[in-house]
Amino acid sequence: MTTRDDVVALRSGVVTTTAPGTVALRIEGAHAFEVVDAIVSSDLQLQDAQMRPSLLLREDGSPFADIEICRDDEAFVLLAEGPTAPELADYVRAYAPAGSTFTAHDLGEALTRIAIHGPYAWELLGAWRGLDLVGLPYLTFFRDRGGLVFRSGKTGEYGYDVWLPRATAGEEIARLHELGRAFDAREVAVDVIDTSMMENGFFDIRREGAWPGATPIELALQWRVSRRKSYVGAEALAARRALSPEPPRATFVTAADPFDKGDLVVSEERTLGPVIAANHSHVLDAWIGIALLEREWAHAGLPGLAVVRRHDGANASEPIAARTVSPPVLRNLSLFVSPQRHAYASRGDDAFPTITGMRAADSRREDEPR
Amino acid sequence: MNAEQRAYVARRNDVLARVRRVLTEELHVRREPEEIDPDVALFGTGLGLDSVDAIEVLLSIEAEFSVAIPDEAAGRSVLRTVGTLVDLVMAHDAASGDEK
Repeated sequence: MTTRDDVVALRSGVVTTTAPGTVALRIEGAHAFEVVDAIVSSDLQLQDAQMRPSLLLREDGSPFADIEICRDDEAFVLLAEGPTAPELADYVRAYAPAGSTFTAHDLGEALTRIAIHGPYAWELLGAWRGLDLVGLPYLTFFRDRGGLVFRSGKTGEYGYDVWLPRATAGEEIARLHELGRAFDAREVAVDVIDTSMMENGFFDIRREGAWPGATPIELALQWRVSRRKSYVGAEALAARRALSPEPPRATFVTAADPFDKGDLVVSEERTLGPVIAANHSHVLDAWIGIALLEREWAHAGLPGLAVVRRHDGANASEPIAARTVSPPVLRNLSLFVSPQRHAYASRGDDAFPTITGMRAADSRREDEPR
Repeated sequence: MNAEQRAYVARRNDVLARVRRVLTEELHVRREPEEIDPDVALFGTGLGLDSVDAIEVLLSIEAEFSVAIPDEAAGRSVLRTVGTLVDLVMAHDAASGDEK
């Protein structure tokens, strides 16, 4: 079994994973709203059980954590990628308004997480946790037998984060894997999730989020930052906008040949910007990356571009042809699979549109009897 | 930037500006146009539009650019991000030889 098999499972069936290392911090108390509002970069207008992607920034505007804010009545749960739970708790305490009354509790002490992704993830979740959860709307969460189920995901497919009480998690996860056999479910590692996130244009704080000096402005994450409120890093972003009205912008790039972080995107003799993240895409059967291009050049579909290899300080090699693209780079099967009409067992009877971009995986799916 | 690239960027910037105008003026997205990055998702995360908005987006884009979305599958594919909407218009231009 290969990474490609894992990708095919994710894009056409179901996978389970404990990656990436998400932490969950519950903030409650008399000033929970004020504390969360003071630190998150987006406006904080959420109804009970709703979730919203946001960011925690450093004072220089760079991303500290990629978060989902979850409103739980008068309390909040922050699902975070980037920091450890103690680092996240320290950040909250450091930037909470003076005199605030609140507690910040690491849910990971009592709960453990497993995620389910794929066009049929909803069906496996329903078999495992009950059919009530199948209809959970995107970006909402639900209490379930002492744990929590979040309808989220960053792969472009149906996705659920299930946090289970540690006391019963071993038994519960064994049952999930047992049920998963009917779905040919596979356990996948972080590289499969990372590449899927890039194919669908989801921000990855471990990847492009770690590029020195990059802020939400350059990373094309302005939808996650407010101009109407104050938060950690807001002044740095305002100063950056004033200094450079047309800063470089993260733009997706593909090429048939390998390239890597640190390589340069060029047009003829001109350097347009560095590649800040790159992965091999089994869906495209090509390489995909994110480049921080001069604003004038930061457009999908621009002709005449190339990548010059400079990885690990190697000498410049012959440029490789590249093109800029708009993510997602595939047509996800989850766009067409409906919990009301479809099932994994009878998928061979369903006439789904071709999953554009998924050449390698498609040929396998269509050649296989179902 | 050579002449082909200049022409492409000029057309793409024009289409992007008009898509942003549709989103802010007709869909009432509460963002300044320059804050709407091309790769931002239209639904769910990103701009947070909903299924009712989807119809409005399609009708507005079809009216603004005189493009037709051929079928539901194509519609679901182009209604992903601001950039995929721009791609649709650019592809229509290229197919009709109507690049301006």
